[in-house]
Amino acid sequence: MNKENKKVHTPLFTTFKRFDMPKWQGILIRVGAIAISIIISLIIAMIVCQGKPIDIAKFFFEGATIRPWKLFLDAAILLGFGMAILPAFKMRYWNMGANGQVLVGSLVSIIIMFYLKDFGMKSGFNNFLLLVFMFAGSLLASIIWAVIPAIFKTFFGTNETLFTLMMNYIASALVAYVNYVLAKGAKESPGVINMDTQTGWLHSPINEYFIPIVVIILVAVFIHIYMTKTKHGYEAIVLGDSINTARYVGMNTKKIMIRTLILSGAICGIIGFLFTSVINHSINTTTCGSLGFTAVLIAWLSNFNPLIMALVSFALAFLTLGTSKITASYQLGSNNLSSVIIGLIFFSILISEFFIRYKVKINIKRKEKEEPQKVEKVEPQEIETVKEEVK
Amino acid sequence: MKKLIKSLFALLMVAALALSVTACTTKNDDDEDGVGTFNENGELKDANVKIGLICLHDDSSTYDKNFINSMYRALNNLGIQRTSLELHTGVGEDSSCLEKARELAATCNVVFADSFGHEDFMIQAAKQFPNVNFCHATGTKAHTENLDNYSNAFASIYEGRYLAGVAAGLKLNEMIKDGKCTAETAVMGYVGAFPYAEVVSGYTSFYLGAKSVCPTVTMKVRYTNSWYDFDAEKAAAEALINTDKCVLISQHADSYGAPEACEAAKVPNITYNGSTVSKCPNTYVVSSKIDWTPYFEYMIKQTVKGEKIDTDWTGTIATGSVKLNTIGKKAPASGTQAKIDEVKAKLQNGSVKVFDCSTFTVGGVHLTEYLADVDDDGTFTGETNVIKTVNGVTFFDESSYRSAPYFDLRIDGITEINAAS
Repeated sequence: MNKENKKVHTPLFTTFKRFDMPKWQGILIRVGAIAISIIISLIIAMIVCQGKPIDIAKFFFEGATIRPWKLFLDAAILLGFGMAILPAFKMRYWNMGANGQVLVGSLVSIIIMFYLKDFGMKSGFNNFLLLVFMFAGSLLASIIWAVIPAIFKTFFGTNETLFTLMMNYIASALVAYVNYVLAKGAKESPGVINMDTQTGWLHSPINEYFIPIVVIILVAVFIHIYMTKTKHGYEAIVLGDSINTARYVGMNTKKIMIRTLILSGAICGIIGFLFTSVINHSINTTTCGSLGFTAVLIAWLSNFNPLIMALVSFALAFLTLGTSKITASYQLGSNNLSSVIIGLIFFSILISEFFIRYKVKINIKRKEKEEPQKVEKVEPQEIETVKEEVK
Repeated sequence: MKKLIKSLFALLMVAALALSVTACTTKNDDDEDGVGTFNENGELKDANVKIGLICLHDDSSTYDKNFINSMYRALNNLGIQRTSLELHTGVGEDSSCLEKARELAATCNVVFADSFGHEDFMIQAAKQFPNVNFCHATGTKAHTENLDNYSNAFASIYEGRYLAGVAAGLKLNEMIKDGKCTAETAVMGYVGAFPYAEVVSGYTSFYLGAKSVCPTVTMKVRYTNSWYDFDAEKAAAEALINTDKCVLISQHADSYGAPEACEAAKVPNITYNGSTVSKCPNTYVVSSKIDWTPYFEYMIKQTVKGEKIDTDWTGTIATGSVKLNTIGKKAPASGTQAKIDEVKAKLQNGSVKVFDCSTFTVGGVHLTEYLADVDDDGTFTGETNVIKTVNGVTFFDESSYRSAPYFDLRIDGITEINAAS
C-alpha cells in the first residue's frame, strides 16, 4: 500500500485554464512580450552587424516600407495560403499540401500559356480566352491535387498529413520535369514565358500588385462568410469537433470532407493562376518556398480568425522585408539573422498566448500524501476546458 | 453580422492604407553622367556609388561565396567602403529576383545577379529602370535584348580547363610509364552537372587539354542532373572508377563528393573552383577557377564614369579572370607546372586554340562549319556559324559571339554514360 502511494508521480508544473484575466491585461502582456523580443532582436542584430541601433532600426523600417505595394502583396500571398488551408484545418484535416496544390495549378497554367501562345497572340479577345483557359486549368489541377488525398482518407482511412506532404514532392518533381521538356533539355527551365509578347499575362489596373491583393482580400472575406454564415462551413466545423456527432445527426461526412477540400484546392488554384499570370510568368520547384507551411503557423497563431490572420500575415511580411534589408545592408552573406529575429518574435507571441490562456502552478515536493490526488482530480476538468477552447 | 461588417471595414482600411502609402513614394532619378571620379591610383574619390549584389544561395555555397569574395576584393582595390554594397542572398529564380532588383534600383547605381535563372527578371528590371546598370553572370540574352543598361558576363573558363587537362594528360603519361595503365586503358572520368553547353564546353576543353599531351586518352561522362548534390556526385565518381574503369577523375559540380570518392579510391582528381589540397592531399592534381574581381572592378568603374558596360564581357587568362589554383604536392606528374606555364603563354598569345578543329573529330569528320545556338530565342536551334579560320588555324570560336559558352558538340573520344535522350 505504501509502495503504491510512493509511485504516484507529481508533475513539476500543472497548468490550469485561466478565466479571470481582464482583456486589457492580456493585451498588455502581448504588447510587452513583443516589445521584449524586439529589444532582444535589436541587441542580437547590434552584435552581429556591429552597427548602431538607430541605423539598424532605420534599415528595418526602410526595407519594410520602401515599396509598400510589395509589402502588401507579400502579406496577401501569405494570407491566401492561410485561407487555402483554413477550411480543411477547421475540419481537423491537416492539409500540409498547399505548396504542391498551388504548384500544380501554376504549372498547368504555365503549360497552357506556353503551348497556346500563338492562339493568344491573335487578338485581345483571344488573349482573354487564353487567360480563361489558364484559370480553368489551374483551378482544376489544384482541386484534383487537393481531392486525391481527401478521397484516400475518406474511403481508405489514410493519413492525410503524410499524404499531402508527399503530394508536394510529386508536384515539385513534375515542375522540374515539365520545365525540362519546355526548355527542350537545353537548360533547366524556359525561364519567363512570353516575355516579349506578354501573351497570357494578366495586366492589372494601377499596377501589377493590385489584382492579387484585391483577389486575395475577396477570397478572405468569402472564406470568413463561408465558415461562419453558411451551412457548409458549419458542417465542416462540426465534423472537425467530432466525426461521430456529425454522423449521428445524419451528415454525409465523406461528402463534406471532399467538398471542403475542393474549396481548399480552388483557392490554391486561384493563387497558382495569379503566380503564373501576374507574378512570376515562370515556374520552378521553389516557386512556393515554404509558404504552405508558414500558413499553418499563421492560421494557428491567429486562432483561425481571418482578420487576425491578415494582421499576422502583414506582420510577417513586414518583418521579412525589414530584416532582409538589415542583412543586405550589413553584407551578412546569409539570411540567418532574419530567421532568428522572426523566430524570436513569433516564439514570444506563442509564449505570451500560453500564459494568457493558462495559469501555471509549480508543484514543490511536499511530504503530504494527499497532494498528488488533488492534482489528479484537476485533470479531467482541465481536459474539458481545453475542449471548450478548441470549439 | 456586426463582426462581419467590422472585419470588412478593417480590410478596406488596410487596402486604403496601401494606396495612400504608395502615393507618397517617389522614383529615384540618377543622372546618366556618372557619379564620381578616380584619383591617380585608380581609387574612387567620391564614395557615392552604390552597388547591389543578388545571390541565389548564401555564402555557404561555394558558387555564391566566390562572387561575394570577388566583390569584396574589387571594392577594396577601388577604395570603396563596404557600406556601399547591398548584398541580398537566397534570392530565388522567380519574381523575388525582379522585386529585389527593383528594390535595389531605388538606391543603387549598378545591380549584379549571379545565377543563370535570374536573367529574365534582370531584363525586366533593366527595362523598367533605364538609368541603373544591370549586369548578370552566365546569361545568354544581352546581345539580343539590345538594352543599353543590361549586360552579360562570363569567363573563358574552357582555357582554364584546357590547362587543367594538360596536367591530367601529364599524369596519365606518368601512369602509363609506371605501368599503372596502358595507352589503351588511359580512360578519364568526368562528373558533369547537366548536359548543357556550359558543361559540355567544359569537359571537352578538359579532354582536349589532356589529349594534347596524351594522344590515346578517352573519356567517360556521367551526369548528376544537379549543380550541387554530394551523394550523387560521389556515386557518379565511384561508378566511373569501379564500373567504367577510369584512372583519373575530373568534375563540373560544386560539392566535395567526387574529390572524396577519389581520395578514398586513390585516383588522381582534377577539381573545379576550390583547391582540395587540404582535404584530399594524396589525389589532388590541380583545379581551375573563375575570379570575378576583374569584372566587378570594370563594372563599377564604367558605372562611376557613366560609360556603357560591354554587352558581353568575357574574362580571360589575360584579364586575370581565369586562374589555376596551386598544383597539388603529391599527385601531379613532375614538370607539370613548367608545362602549364608554357601552354598558358601559348593560349595568351593565340598560337594555341583550345577548340582547334584539327585536334578533334565529330562522327569521324573534322568540322568546317557548325551552327551553334548563340541567340537564345526560344527555338533551341543553331543559327550562327562559329567555325573560324585565323592564320591558317580553323577553330570553334567559343565565347566570342556571346560570353556564355555555346559549345554543345559531342566529339569523338568522349562517351556519355547516362545522357538523357
